[in-house]
Amino acid sequence: MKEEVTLAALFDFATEGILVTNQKGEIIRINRAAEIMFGYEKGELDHRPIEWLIPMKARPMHSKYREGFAKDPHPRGMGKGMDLFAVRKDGSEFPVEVSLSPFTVNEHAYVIAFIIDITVRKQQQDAIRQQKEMLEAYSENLKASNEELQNFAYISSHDLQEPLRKIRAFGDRLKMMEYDKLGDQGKDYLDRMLNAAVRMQTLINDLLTFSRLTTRAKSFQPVDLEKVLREVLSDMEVTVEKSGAVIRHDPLPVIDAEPTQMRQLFQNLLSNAIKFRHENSVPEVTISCRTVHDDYGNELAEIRVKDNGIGFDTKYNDRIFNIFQRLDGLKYEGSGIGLAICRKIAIRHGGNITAESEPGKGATFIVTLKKQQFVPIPNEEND
Amino acid sequence: MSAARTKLQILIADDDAEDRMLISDALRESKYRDHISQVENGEELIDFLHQETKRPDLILLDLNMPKKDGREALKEIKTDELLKNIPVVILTTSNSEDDIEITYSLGGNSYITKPSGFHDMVEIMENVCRYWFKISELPNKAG
Repeated sequence: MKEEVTLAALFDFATEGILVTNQKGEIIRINRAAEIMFGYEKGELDHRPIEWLIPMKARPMHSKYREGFAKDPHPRGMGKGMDLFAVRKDGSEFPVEVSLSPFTVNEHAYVIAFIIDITVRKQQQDAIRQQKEMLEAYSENLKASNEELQNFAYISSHDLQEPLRKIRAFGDRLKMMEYDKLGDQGKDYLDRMLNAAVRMQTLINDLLTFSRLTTRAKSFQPVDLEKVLREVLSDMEVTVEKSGAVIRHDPLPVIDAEPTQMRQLFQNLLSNAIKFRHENSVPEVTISCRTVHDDYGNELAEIRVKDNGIGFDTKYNDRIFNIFQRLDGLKYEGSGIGLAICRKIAIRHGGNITAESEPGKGATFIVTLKKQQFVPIPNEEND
Repeated sequence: MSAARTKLQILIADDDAEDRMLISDALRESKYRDHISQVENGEELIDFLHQETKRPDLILLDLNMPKKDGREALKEIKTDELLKNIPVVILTTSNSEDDIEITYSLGGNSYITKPSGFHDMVEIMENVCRYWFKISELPNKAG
């Protein structure tokens, strides 16, 4: 007795809609949740054909389905991945998910149907799909704009380089043919002109490099900074040897990064450390690393590149990271974009760069880089 | 089946008149060159080559030209029975790796990015001419 009462309570108070049909497709038992879902009064649906709950146009089909189901009854779900609709008393249709279970009592066949109104779920899915489409469209736009920028930068630099190449080539030719006839001032002017052309070529190349930090960036991947440092030092072997520089470093971690840009970063910092050395002392460069956290609790790798070179006045700290800012005039080689590139790279990697220094006493450049970067999961088809 | 030559007949294909001038000036410094001809684009190049009497010993080919660019011209030359043994050295402003690959796959004999300095250009032309002159003297050339 108790169990029957419990079961009855379960049936009547279930939040899912539940109904039972007989072999003729008549509703012989229906719970309150189902009646409410379909907009009927208590008892209104008793002994009514199940087709009342099916939209008009689907009714003929449904009868056929029922016959087929009766011949081969087995538990099944309906409406998953499809648009299955039911109809309320007032004629309005709504999407449902239905699961059917056949059972037999005294050789009579019945079917239990569990019904969920998935209107809200569908709306949410549609909203998500819309957002996804918007994001994809936005991302496509971004890609297109990026490509345009890249083309522009490449074409500008290419077209700008051509006249420069001519200036240098003809200037060079002039030197070859007429140098002796030029006189001291003439020679000087010619040399200055050619130097200026070379500087301009370097500037254009550097600008191209700078713009490519965004337009040609590859995606983030685990990068072994030890390996990067080794490779950069290997590339710089000649410079290191010539200057007699001594380079020490802490072990460096593996972080999520853009591999080319990590190389550029270390290349710039190390080449600066060696370039701005004292004339008559052995340049010493020390690279240290530790973990710090940013304001959001993210782990950052803090890398310090310390040299014993000429240093600089830190009141220029902001300026040196701007494009083309140089503190030394034209005394040292380079266009002044190296640190701007380092800063852009650091910021792209969720960190930053700053410097500590005293004139005559060397400089320490401090770079922070996020250890982990968000990598979007490639699109998978959802059910 | 060319008669033994003492020096190279060189053909420059480049759409930029100033570059043609610079290249031929640089070539003039080389003792291996005999005669220099010039064409402005791929179409002119192919027409020139089909005149048997004028066939050069070496072609210096720019990649980016109007009316049939260097890539197309290179392809045509290297698939033509009569022309494919003429060495073609690409001389271009491009330093793109894609262009290097394309040149190689089309059968180009070498790839040089135009240098900025005239001295460099002279040195390069000197080396190119010496190499292909020596090759042209070998009794059993491939092909």
